[in-house]
Order: sequence, then C-alpha cells, then structure tokens
Amino acid sequence: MPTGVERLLTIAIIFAVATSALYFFDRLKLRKTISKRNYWIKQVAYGLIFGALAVCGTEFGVPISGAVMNIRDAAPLSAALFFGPYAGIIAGLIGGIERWFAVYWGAGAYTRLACTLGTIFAGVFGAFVKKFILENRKPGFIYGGMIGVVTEVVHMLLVYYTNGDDPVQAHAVTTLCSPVMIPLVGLAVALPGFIITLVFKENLHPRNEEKRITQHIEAGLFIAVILAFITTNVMQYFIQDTIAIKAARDSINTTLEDVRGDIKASGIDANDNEAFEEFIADDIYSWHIGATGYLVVLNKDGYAVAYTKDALLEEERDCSDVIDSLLEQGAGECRKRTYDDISYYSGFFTYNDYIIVAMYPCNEADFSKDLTTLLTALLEVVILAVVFMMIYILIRIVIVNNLDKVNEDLAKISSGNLNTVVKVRTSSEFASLSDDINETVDTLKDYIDMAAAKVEEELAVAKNIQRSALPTMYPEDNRYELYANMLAAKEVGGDFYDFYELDDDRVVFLIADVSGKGIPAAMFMMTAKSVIKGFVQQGASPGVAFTKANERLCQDNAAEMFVTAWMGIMDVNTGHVVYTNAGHNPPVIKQKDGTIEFLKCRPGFVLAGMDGIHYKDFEFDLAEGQSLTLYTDGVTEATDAHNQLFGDDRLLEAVRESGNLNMRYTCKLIKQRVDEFVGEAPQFDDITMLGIKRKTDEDRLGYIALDATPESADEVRDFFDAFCEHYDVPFKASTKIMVMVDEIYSNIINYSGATHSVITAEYGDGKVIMSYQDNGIAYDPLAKEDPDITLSAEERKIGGLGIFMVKKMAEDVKYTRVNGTNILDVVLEI
Amino acid sequence: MDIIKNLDGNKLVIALEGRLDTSTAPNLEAELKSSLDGVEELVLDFNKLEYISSAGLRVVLGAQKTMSKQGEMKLTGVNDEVMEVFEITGFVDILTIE
Repeated sequence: MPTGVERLLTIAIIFAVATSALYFFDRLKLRKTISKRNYWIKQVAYGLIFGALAVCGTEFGVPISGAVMNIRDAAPLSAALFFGPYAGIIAGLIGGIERWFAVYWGAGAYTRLACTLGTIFAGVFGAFVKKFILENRKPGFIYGGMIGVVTEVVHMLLVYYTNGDDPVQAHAVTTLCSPVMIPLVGLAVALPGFIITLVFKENLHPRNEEKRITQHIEAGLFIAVILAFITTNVMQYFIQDTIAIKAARDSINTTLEDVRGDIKASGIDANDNEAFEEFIADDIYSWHIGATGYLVVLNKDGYAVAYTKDALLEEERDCSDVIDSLLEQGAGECRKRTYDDISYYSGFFTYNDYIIVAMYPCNEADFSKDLTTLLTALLEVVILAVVFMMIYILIRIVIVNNLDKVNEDLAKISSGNLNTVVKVRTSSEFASLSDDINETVDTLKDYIDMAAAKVEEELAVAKNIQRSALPTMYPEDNRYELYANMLAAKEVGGDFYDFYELDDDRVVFLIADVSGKGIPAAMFMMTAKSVIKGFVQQGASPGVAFTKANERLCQDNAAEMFVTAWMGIMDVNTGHVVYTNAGHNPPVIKQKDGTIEFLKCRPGFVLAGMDGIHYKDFEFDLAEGQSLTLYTDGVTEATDAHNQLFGDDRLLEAVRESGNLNMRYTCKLIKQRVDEFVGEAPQFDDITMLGIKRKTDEDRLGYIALDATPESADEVRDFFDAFCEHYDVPFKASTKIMVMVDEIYSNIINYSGATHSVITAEYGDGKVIMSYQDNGIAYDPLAKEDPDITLSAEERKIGGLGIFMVKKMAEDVKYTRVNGTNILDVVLEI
Repeated sequence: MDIIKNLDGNKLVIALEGRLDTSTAPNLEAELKSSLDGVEELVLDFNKLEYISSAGLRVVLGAQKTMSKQGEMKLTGVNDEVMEVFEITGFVDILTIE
C-alpha cells in the first residue's frame, strides 16, 4: 500500500462525515428561514468552515519530498456542491492561500503554486458545477466521485504545468500522489452524497417520468466517456510499451555491439581468459546504456568478473540461475527481468566462457512511456469531463431550456390565457412544435367560440320560450287597466306572468318565479303556466287551482324545480279579488290617495315543492282607483355594485312616486329606479312586474279604443277636447296637444295601415302623458331625419314637419314596437 | 273651421276661425285654389284661429309660393300658439307676419 494512504483515508472519511452532519443540520434547522440576507450569511459561514477543513487537510497531510500528499481539495468542493457555490469559492480561496504560506512551516515547496491554484480551482469548479450542471441540486454518489476525481486530476496536471522545466521530478511527485489523492478526494466528495441519500431515504431509482432529460442522457454519456477513456488509454499504453521495448532493445544491442567491437579491436587472444578479464575490468567503465544502465560480465560459473555498477554484485554472487535464464532467452534478445527488486531490460552475448550482460533499468527506459501514459490519462480525464459538461450544457440550452419555455407558455394557456403565443423558434423542431401548439390553441379557440355561440343560442331559445309564453295584448276595458312586463336576465331566470279574461266580468292575473335558470326553467315555467291555467278555466278558485297544480307539478319533477306564485281573480265590476299565494312576495297596494302598503297574507308553500299542500283562498276588495303591483324578487333583490339589495323600502318608494300614473308608467318607473340603483352591476335575475288597477271616471276619460278609419279622427279630437276640458288644461297647452294629436293620429290612419288603435291620456304632476298604440306596420316616426327649416319658401318641401313639431313641443317622445304594436309615448309639460 | 273671404279689387282677405288641421286644411286649400286668380295682395287673418298643424302649414306654404309669383301675402292676428308653431318650423322666415 502506498505511503500515507491510511491517514488520508481517515481524513477523507472525517471530511465526508463532517459534510453530511452539516448538511443534516442545515436541512433540519436552517432551511426554514431562507431570505436573501440569510443566504449570504450562510454562504460565508460555510465558506469559512470548509476553508478551515481545507487548512486541516494541508496540515494533517502526508509530507513527501517537495510536496504534501493531502485531500484538501475535497473541502471547497463539498462546500460548493452541498452548501452553495459561494461557500465553495470562499473555502477554495482560504485553503489555496493557506497552502501558499504553509511552505513557511514545513509544507513542500515544489508543488506550492500547483497546490494553491488547484485548491482555488476546486472551489471555482465546484461552484460552476453546482450552478450550471447540477442546477443547485446536490450531487449523488457517482457525480460527487467524478467531480472529485476531475478536480484532483486537474490538480495533478497543474503540478506538471507549473514545473515544466523539470518533468522528471514532477512525474515522480504525480506518480506518487495520483493513485492516492485522486481516488481519496473522489471518495471524500462522493461519500456525503451517499450518506445523505441513505439517511433521507431519497428515491434511488426514479421512474423514467421523474427523470429529467439530462438525467437520461448523462448515464449514456458517462458510459461513452468511460469507454473513450479506456480505449484510448489502453491503445496508448500498448503503443508506448512497444516503442519503449524496441528503444530499450536498440540501446542494449548498440552497446553490446560496441563492446563486441572494442574486444575485437583490442586484439586479445581469444583463449586468454586472464587477458580478457583484465581488459574488461579496465574498459567496462567506458560502456554505458542510457544514464543508469550498466554491464555485467559473468564467467561460466555464474560469477561476475566485471561490472559497471559498483553497488551491485560487490560480493561474488552465484548468478548461475541468471545464466540459465539468459541462455534460454538467447543472444540478441531483449527481456525484462527483476534483479534485486529492480526491473531491467537485459540482453547479452557470450564471449568464450564469458557472458556479457547489459542491464537497462526499466524506470529509465520507460520514463517517456510512463510520463506520456499518465499525462495522457490525466489530460483525457479533463478533456472528457469538459466534453461531458459541454454536451450536458448544450442539451440544456438547445432542448431543455426551450422545452421549459414551451411548458411555461403551455401553463399560461392551460390556465386560461388562450391568447398566449408560443414563440420558441431556435430550431426547426421547436419552431414546428410552437406552430403546432399555436394552431391547436387557435382551433381550440374556434371551438370555444362555437360552444359559446351555442350557449348563446340556447339562451336565446330559452328566452324565446319564456317570452312567447307571456301574453302581451293587454285587455282594453273601461273598468280596469292591466299591464305586465318582464325583462329577462342574460341567463333566463324562469319568471313569468299571466293574465286572461275568464268571462266578461272576471280577470285572472298571476305572477310567478321558477327556481333555476336556462332552458329547464323555461320549460318548467311553460308547464306550470298551462297547468294552472287549465284548472282555473275549469272553474277552480285560485287556492284550488294551486292545490291541484301543485299535485300535478310534483309528479315528474325530476329536475326538482319549484315555483313561487301569486294569483288573483278579480271581479272587474266590484273589485272583489280572490287570491292565493304560493311563497311569493306580497303585492303592493296603492290607494287612490297615494297610501302604499303590502297586501300581506300567510303564504302557502312553494308550488312543486311538496305533495299534499293545501292552498287557501284569501279575499280582498280593490276600490276604484286602487292598484295592485305584483313583482318578482328580481326587483327587490336587484343588487348594486356594493352588493346592496334594492329592497322593499325602495320598491314602496318607487310605487309611491308613481302617483296617479297608469300601470304601464308605474312599472316603467319602478324599473327605472331599479336601473338607477343597480348602475353598472349586471342583472342576474329576470325582472318581472304586473300591475292591475280599477279605473276611476278620470281614468276612463283618458282611454279610447278606435277603429283606425279616417272618420275616427273626429272621435280622437273630441276625446282630447273632453280631456282638456275636464282637467282644465290651459289654452296654450291644449292647442299643443291638439296639434300633436292631429299630427300623430293622421299618420296612423293615413300611413300605418292599422285597423285598430288605442289612445290613453293621463294628467298629473303638471304633465300630460299620451300613449298612441296601433296595429299597423312597424314604423318609427322618430327615426326620420328632421326637415331643413332654413330653406326658402320655394325650396321648402312639405312633409316630416308634423313629427318634427311633435318632437319640438313634447318634453319626451318615445317609440317602441311590442308584439306587432306600435307604441308612441308622448309626455308634455304643461 | 269657418273661412270668411273678403275680396277688394286685387286684395283678398281670408279670415280663418277655429282649427286649421288635417280635417280642415283641405277646405282652405280648395278655397284658395279657386280664389287666387288675379289677386295681388293676400291677407290671411288668423285672429280667430286657434291652432295650426302641419297640414295647415302645407296649405299656407302653397299659398305663399303662389303669391310670391303674383304679388304678396301677409298674415295678421297670429296668436302666440300659432306663432310658436311658425317659429318651430322656421315659417317665420318665409312668411310675412304683421
């Protein structure tokens, strides 16, 4: 075993254990507080600790001539690989600089520069590997060992490079140190990875999907590198060996030829042994092989009679065994043999009874071979390590980094940002991958748009179902007025209302809200509406109708929907209302004097919620001029941006505010107040209202239904004359009214093609509100361009002036087209 | 609406009483059509006219166009309400109103 191995092995194990212990301590105690400041404090601390270890490595090393055999470099390496690049650099600097000055207290001076640089290199190299190859992971057993080996090989090469003028000494040092330091540094760095893996029970055999691409490649790359190393070195060795043997043989044979020639030239009698021995003893010193090779002359008894190396063969030794083997070898051949524990190349020739033997020590003959082989091996380790790292880094740059970029974009895409474009175009493969992904996303977007369009379509269908089920022809009756309206939310909510005349004297009105949304709610609403209507038309009272409808709806209610509903049947002559309530909001009563209150009763359970519910009839008398306003929770639960509800109080206030406006305007006013309250917040639920009012004489005064014939114009004039007279409308205002009536109604009878028209008028709050309805073709008179009133008499065209005047005179004019009816609302300030 | 004509040589005075609207404008139009030949001065007396609608304006404009060729036309006794209509429609700039 080479010198000092035991001590260095012990130090290597101490290093490894210390590294592992620090790593556990760090991982268990310190990892929790990772901040930037802590990071630097830790880097410096570990740098100092491992710097101290490096110093110990030097001080407890094994002194040899001109150097200290040690495993110092393992300290900065471990610092970098297990605790961070900067710790490694710091430890390397400390260990390197200390080695420089250690010469003053006894460390070998010969390798001073090489060792200093080697240790600093160890720190920097460790830092580089940690950051760029391991990407801050810790190394495992194999990697640790490899990194240690490569570092120490570089260290050995530095010994050659820093002592280029003295290769023999450099070679002597490295030949001595390499077999000890290289494996032990490797071991010292490998062991902690091994221990840590064992203690933390880390996954030693990750499944393929857990491995990185680089991990897949590194095994193959590693094998390739090792194979390359072995192949080249074996070849190198054999070539060098052959060359060395040939060179040794040539040297030996040349010398032996010279000896032979000299003997011949001396003219000694071939049979005069004495003269020969004398000659040879004198002359032998002039012959030599290389610097250290020598000649021995043996006599036939196996004793040396002359030799060039004094130290050897001093006593007469029996060399007959050598002679036997030499003779067996044959003259002119060159062989390696060991003599006194030293290897020689040897050759011989015989002269009479003597054998002249050339001894050429292998260490001299093979120096060139040994140097070349070792240096090549060392260099190759470094070159292959560089190649390994280059390939590794290249793969990362060319493939892994780009894959990461693609993955990053994909993550954005899958988190919902479909506008992300993958733009990795560093190679044709990645460009095509990017294009494919982008195309897929585009296609996906199209599908999503289509799906969205389909959803929109379904919503439209649901809305149509809902809307088509709602009656819009309001009854024209002198005794009462009724108006209802529903504004569907984007996702149809399933609200509905219904009204119909049961006979000449009774009107049925109903408002309801189906739980749920979309097509199912719309379908359920249709069912509920027709079922209830069916029972009412069979003569059932509201309570009975609800009781029966509930039974019916409870069957086949797979969707588990339910309906809140309020229904009343009013005798339009007396105002007597029989009503029932299935969990619905109470209607608002407005007295003629403006008093507002809820019509409260104890409501029954919701419809379709449970079998066997009995709904009671309640009764109530609606006086002339009184109104009922029914609504759904879309009104009271309309929500503003701050999540506040519109609520009952605001509803009552809006109804109060409507004064003696007709039901249409009352509903519109409530909707307007809801809109103002909600502001920009989205409408989540349908907003539905239904108003019914018993007309007073005054109301009747403001209502006329007509056949839209030319003759009916007179009726309209009379109607408004009576209206103005009744309310004592000032002359100025009444002329305006008459002008507007003339303009609007003449349009209806002359141009609309209508057969039927209804006009209502109201007076209150200093305003006259008129509404003109006709069943003519859809025509918005307000859309027409205003005439140019600045032209001269000759240029003036007549036409369009009428509506223009209406617009100018009125405070507000509004056109709507509802279910085949043109409605023109005009408000005039008195 | 009542239409009272008073022809004095080339001067024709037509006094209107009541409402000049869709139903009555055709009467005035017919009356003017038959009476304006040779008239050089036409006076429309609106003292007793309650209001005028666009149908009436049409007839008045037609009369103005005729009279511009053969003489002059003026309106007298226009009340505030009718005046407002003339103002709204820009007729004040076309007609001579006294």
